[in-house]
Amino acid sequence: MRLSISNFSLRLSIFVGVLIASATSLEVYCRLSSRFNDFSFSYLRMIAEVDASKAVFGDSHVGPTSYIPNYAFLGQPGQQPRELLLLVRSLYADRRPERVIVEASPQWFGEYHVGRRPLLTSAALAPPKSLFGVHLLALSSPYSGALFDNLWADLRSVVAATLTAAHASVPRPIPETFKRFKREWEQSASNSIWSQFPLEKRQVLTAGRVYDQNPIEGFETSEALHAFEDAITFLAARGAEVCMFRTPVSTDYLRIASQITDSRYAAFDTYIRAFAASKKLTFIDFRSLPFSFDDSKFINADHLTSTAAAAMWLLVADACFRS
Amino acid sequence: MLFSSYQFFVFLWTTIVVLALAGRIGQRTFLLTMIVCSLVFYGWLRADYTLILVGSAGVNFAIATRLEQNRSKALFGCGVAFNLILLGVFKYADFAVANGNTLFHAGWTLPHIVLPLALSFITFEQISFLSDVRSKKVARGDFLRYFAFVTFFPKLIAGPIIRYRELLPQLSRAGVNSAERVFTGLCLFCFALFKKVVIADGLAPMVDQTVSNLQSGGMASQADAISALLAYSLQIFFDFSSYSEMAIGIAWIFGIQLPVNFNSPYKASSLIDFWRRWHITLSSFLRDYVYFPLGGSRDGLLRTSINLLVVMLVGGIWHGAAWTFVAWGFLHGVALVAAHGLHGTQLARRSKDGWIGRTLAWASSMGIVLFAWILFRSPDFSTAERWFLSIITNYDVHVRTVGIPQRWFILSALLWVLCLPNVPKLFCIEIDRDKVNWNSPAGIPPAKLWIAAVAAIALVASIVFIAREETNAFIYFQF
Repeated sequence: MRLSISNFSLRLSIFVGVLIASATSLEVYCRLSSRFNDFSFSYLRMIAEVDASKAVFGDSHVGPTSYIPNYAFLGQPGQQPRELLLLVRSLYADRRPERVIVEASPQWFGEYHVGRRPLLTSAALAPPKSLFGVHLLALSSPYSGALFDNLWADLRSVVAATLTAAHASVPRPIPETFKRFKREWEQSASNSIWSQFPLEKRQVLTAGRVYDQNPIEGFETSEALHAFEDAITFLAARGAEVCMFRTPVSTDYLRIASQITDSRYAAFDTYIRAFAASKKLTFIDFRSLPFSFDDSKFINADHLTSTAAAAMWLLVADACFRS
Repeated sequence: MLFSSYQFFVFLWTTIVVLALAGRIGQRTFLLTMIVCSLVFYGWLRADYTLILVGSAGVNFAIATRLEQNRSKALFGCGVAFNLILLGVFKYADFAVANGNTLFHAGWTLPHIVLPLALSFITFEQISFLSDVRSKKVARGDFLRYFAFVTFFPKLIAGPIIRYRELLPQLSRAGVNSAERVFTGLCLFCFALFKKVVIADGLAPMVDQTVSNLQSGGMASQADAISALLAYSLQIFFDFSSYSEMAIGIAWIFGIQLPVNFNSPYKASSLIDFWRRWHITLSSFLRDYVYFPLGGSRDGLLRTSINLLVVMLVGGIWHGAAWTFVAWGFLHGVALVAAHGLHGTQLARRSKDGWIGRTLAWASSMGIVLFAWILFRSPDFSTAERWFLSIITNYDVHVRTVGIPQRWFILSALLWVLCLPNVPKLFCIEIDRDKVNWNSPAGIPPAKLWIAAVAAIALVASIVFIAREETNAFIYFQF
């Protein structure tokens, strides 16, 4: 009997211990992971914690650049009226607003809101669940929605990073470094010839660009891809002779594109060729052109100088419609 | 109230505490309190439907009282008819009127009666109760125990379909009187909760998007159509088996053992074996209360085949008021007739010998099961037809509903189903209900150490998924 009670206590302790440890780990992950650092999450965090008795509401015009002492600035790019309504109802459900400034601009009703998925929803603005006064991010709708996808992506990154260590996997540049080098490049006297910029800085800028342009996970089923395919299909249906052209990038770009973690460039390459083939369209890859794409022809990792571009586009037109 | 909701967590803990206190007063107080808790659970969304539950139980108890004194066939028939009419009115009225309109070109208005939760399950339990009382397999007992049997909330909404004779002996000993049992029951609940909110609800959007696309007249790519079919096969298994396992776990907290409802059905070696592993309590109900009374397999191959077909048609229409369910039942019936016809032949014996034969037998059985799921999930035959055509034809379709990450998810769930042991087996629960001594069931042994650890992780993951507020109702709620 004593042994049984002891066994039970042990199992119960293990259960409670693992429960607390795993819950804490997820909460810490939500707070520390860089995947939760984009604007939408910081905006939601701010809304959950802000004192909005004095506040300014709007879209991107009301943001970090605006500042009035003791006022909360609550705006996000493209914020929609329905989001504004949910936001003020949520913020002032239990407290009275004091002084409020609301942006009054025509873009509240702009066409560009049509079809845009709102960030602020009832679920996203639901009061955060708290434990001993601590808001639990992992149990708020936007975080819980992205949590396991992010964990999975991080896990895959770690695995991929381990597997590709031998191939010198290229990490995403530190944002501050990237911005500094970018500024340096824009301010340098020779900013029209890529090859004249120091190699190590070029590679940092290129890596940043490669990460930014890496197709998103699941791009094969994304709305963007459907829109893209619809556009091509529409053009073809309207009788256009459609040629698809993969624009040039630097040699460093191509190398890094195969080395970053979670690279989906190869998947894109496979997809675009298959799509062109299925539609019986001509597909031209810049690498197949009789042209030397060395760094002296570029102004940055993925844009040619105007001289090189002029020469290349003639070749493209020839390759596309030679028959 | 969904088992997979925060509301239910609060309800469950409150019920545990209240029943623990009630149990200290006495067994009748415990049962009475359990009935009240069950009625609160049942009436959470539609309080008025508890009246149907109470009324139905009252009528069946009254009939059983008479049947115990007089084993009249006519009275028994009246009891069965009462239950079937009640089910018919609430479940099949729209179906009957719509078909009447089609047949007679009439313009009758559809009554649009909302089906009370659990009525299909309660109907079968009541019929088995009347039958068992009539055949003296169980005494009618007092109304309190009988009503506790009918309303017992863990199994109330979607089974397992339990027999009165299995539950009655346990009711006198039921109670919240062992921390070990509460803990083991909760561990089982956590495992099942994970299966529901993480796996089944994770698979649901792929199926829903594909079916919605097909229903609106589109075609699916071959990969999407196959992926959606696999996803649905897995979704319905994870969804329904998780409900049954949650019910078993919760019941065990109160000291009551429920029969196991799923035994790794997708590992079945044949279609006959599949129906011994899938929704076991429904299969055994149909066997004992429909197939055997029809004569079972005693009167030759033709009669056996007809009996099998009838049983599967009843099973099909029981699932839902639509011709697709009838077709699903018919397809399984025909396949079962064929399987029984092959039973004992040279071919069947050979299929058991080598691994190639076993694999072929498994693959062909699963092929039939998968194909039948198309009918089961499709809202109409044209959707089913487009789904089937999309599978066998490589359409050039650019609307994609199942992406690469989702396919990995399906594959993981498939590997789980085919390679991992059944959850009841992990908890060392007796699968074969005929081997359980229901007068004094062995119950569920204490959860092992590693099971406790995994259950904690499963609970945390499930709670995070529930916070997404995308949890779906259990598929079998609609039946």
